[in-house]
Amino acid sequence: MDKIVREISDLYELSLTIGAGLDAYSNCEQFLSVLLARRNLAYGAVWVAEQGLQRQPNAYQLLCARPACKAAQVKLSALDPIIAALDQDTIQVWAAEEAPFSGFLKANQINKGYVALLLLGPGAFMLLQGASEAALSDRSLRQLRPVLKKFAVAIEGCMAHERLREETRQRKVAQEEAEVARRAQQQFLANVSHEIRTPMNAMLGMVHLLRDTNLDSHQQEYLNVMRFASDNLMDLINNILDASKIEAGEVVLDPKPFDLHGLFSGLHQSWQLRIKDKPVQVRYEHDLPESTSFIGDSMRLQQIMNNLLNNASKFTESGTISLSVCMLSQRGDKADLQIKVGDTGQGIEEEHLPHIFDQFKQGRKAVGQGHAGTGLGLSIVRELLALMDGVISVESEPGAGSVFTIDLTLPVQKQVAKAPVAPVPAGQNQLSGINVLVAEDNRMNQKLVERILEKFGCEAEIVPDGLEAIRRCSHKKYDIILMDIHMPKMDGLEASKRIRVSGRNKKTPIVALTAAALLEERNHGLASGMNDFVTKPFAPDLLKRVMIKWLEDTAPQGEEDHAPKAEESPAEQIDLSYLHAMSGGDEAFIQDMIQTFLKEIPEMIQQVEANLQGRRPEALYSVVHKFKPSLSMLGLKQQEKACAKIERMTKESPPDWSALQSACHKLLSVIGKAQHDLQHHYSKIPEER
Amino acid sequence: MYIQSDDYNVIADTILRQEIRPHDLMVLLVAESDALDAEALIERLNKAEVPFIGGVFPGVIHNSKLYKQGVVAKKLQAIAPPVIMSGLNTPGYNWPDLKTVLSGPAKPVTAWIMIDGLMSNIAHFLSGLYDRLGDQVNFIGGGAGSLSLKQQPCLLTPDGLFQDAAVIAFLDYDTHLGVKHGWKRLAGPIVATRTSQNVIYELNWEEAFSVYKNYIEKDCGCSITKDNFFEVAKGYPFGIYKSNAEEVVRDPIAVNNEGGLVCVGEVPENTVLNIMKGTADNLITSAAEAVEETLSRSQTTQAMVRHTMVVDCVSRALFLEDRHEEELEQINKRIKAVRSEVSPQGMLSLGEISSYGEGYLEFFNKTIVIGSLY
Repeated sequence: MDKIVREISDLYELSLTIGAGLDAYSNCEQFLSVLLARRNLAYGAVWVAEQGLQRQPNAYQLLCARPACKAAQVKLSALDPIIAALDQDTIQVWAAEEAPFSGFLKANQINKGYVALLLLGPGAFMLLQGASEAALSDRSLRQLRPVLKKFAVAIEGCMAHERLREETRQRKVAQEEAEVARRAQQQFLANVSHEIRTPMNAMLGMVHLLRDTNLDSHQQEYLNVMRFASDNLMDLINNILDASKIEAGEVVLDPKPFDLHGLFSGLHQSWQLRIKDKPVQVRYEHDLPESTSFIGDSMRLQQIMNNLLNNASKFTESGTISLSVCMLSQRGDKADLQIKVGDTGQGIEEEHLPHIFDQFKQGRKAVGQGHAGTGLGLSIVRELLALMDGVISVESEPGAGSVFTIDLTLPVQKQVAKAPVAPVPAGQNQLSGINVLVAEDNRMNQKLVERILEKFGCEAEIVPDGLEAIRRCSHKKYDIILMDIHMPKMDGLEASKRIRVSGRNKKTPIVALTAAALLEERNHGLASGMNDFVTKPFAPDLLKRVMIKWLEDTAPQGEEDHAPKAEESPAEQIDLSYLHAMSGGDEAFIQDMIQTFLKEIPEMIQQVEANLQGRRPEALYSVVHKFKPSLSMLGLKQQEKACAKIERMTKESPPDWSALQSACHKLLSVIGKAQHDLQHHYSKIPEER
Repeated sequence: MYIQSDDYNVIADTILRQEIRPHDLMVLLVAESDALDAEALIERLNKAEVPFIGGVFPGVIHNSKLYKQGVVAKKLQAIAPPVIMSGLNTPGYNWPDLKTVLSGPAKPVTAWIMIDGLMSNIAHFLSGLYDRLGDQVNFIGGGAGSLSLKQQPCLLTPDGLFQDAAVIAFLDYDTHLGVKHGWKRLAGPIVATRTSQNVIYELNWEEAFSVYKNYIEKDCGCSITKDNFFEVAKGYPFGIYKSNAEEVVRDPIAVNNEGGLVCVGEVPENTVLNIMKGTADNLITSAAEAVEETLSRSQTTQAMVRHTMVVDCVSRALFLEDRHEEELEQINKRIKAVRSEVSPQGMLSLGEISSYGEGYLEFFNKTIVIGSLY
């Protein structure tokens, strides 16, 4: 009884050493330590199949040996005598010098006493050595068997866990390496993009400036070729960058309410202008409900449409390019839209249709060598649409043309978003007298921007770095700041942050003029307090539109220093672009509008003077408020703002009549000048006397 | 050689009169005494360039006598300089490369180990030692320290006095070992369900002291408290089961504030224990059996015994009291009968070190380890 209790106690203690952790070696070491101590054994070792526990493994490796100094051999092949001696059914004990694997024992300095070989399960065995035969008696080893089976399962569990952990570790390392490579690629792209865009900006800008000089027909043709090649190069760079970003999963949509019809109208007008040299008509139709705006990434949708329209324009030498959008149905707050871009171009061969949206595949022969492209445009379109859960399909007939159809579902927003700024025909001027601070380190770009701003009628101050920009901002209020990002001494991001903290330009719009085209960098810019981006190289018109947009958006909010002063912009010019855009260039309509305006002026002047004199603020407010849209239509934005300022002043209690009088007289003075200009430069009827 | 003096000059002078040849190592077994200036002794031996190691013990043994004063100085032949390991109380202490120590020609080697007997991780150290040397070495030795059970510097080395340390001499002898204690099972099995190193916090999932007290009071007929614990518990040690051998004894020496039993040497968690009880006769008989065991083995070899080392647990001496000398007499008489010129020499130890014959290296309590060096 006493003996069996002791033996059970021994097995109990051994059992409790099993599975104390998930590390196979520690488990094994602990088990062997207790086994050797309690059984008075001199040596114990566990071997396992190299590829996890399995039947008939090719090789074994030593998992743990106690004492560890007896581990001369750590690998065994299936042909080793010790493996051959393993027996599934019997526990075998030999005198050390008589064992059939004495070579192995000698190599491991196991050269006295007795040894026992125990199979633990498939692909694992244990070797024990005791000084006496009694230490390895058949009874004691048979007692051990169930404990050893449990031990083998625990070891297998630990090894499986270790394999899993190692696989996880390797996967993590691979992921980290991939991430490092991705970042390096991204940085490379950012750098290359920046390095290419900076000189390209200067080139394209100079082309634009050259275009406005007196050129003979040959020079004009050379210039056209230059512009054409430069545009293609920029398309190529943009496409490669976009494809790369899409592939890296870095394109993140920025859904906001937008006016779909406004967007497409803008595209229509823009493409009309872009292909005006070809006998191709650009048509636009829509079937969208009134006062409905949608929520989506308008920038990306515009990119998609531009790619499709660009494609259509490339392959259409004559005929029509049609753009249409209609709402097929509305389900709750979602609308199913269908957008079509059709052309009467050369069409696509049937065998090319399945691959038309694959990267680097082109479905139709380019008309001219310069139109070859990268084969990325349609792939980008498909990927961007996939991000929007939209699909695109194509129908085409060689020789007759193609129709690309987009099915897209967008959330509906009931309020109309602000209409995009209509393209402004070149030559019109809304920025006259605007104070612009330009921070730009590149000499060529400095010159270019200065020249462009000069053409806009702006007063530009150029500084070479962010530090100087801050210094200037602390002394003077600017209407808008154009800021490069990568500059010496202090970059544009830091400079913007500091400008936003305090001072006179705390709320001045900051537009980044940068060759940094990546979204990540744009986000940094916005986080630093910048308002918008114009990516180099840029067309002067684009810069103008963005400047106008921000000058309008930051109309004075009650801060005196934000309100552009009428007297500060005496050179403000009439800009008929809005009337042109609105009327589709209908000259008669424009003339009608001018005449209406000219007729309104005397009455308006008279009412203003009368209400000033009678100190009737509400009546003064009504007159100015009524007249304000007329100024807007003629592109007299600053005067429109002056009106807004007068409106606010009439609401003060009590109004500052002296200030009101001064403001009104300045306004009337400028309007008088506008009246004169209209009569002399724009009006086609004689001035009334 | 036994030097019956506490005067370091006398001790040093006596040692220096010995002829020291290459490979000789003086192993000093020093009886605990306030009168002995161990630092000064070390300085004198260093000055004379005598290779030595030593330990301070509650008593030293020479022939059949136990001495509470003086020094047993044994000149033994070493195969390598002694290894000194200090800072063993810090986790992850460094091990020297012991393979190079044993890199000479293959021949029997005996490792004589003296260790700070009041460290809490002696078994862990011995496990590491066995892992590095295996059964190619015969191990014998014991724990040094004060009978007061207060830890203090107790190991003498040329580098100074150390505690939380171990010194190992690798001796050029084959050793036959006899390991016995004579304690018999009183009660059990009991499972040490919560332990930490050398402290048993729970027995059978209950507070260790309460469980132990319940068992002991039934047998001893007296009440056991924290105050009289050492006196009572010295007669009721724990035994750890070991196949084909006597239990490994663990000596509980104190009760801590949490009701945990502080032992000399570790008790791993889930160890199955018995409570042991001893009688003077059994213990004395076991000493005789131990010496027989070492000599019965020696009869199988042609070589002659050159030294006999006795590592006798101090708690045996405390338990046997006046009859302790009987134990030593048994050993001395038997050794002298085999070889009259050999004097059994050794010490009263705080824990004994040996393998059971040729098996796993163990740390024992309340045991007598006798090694015959050939």
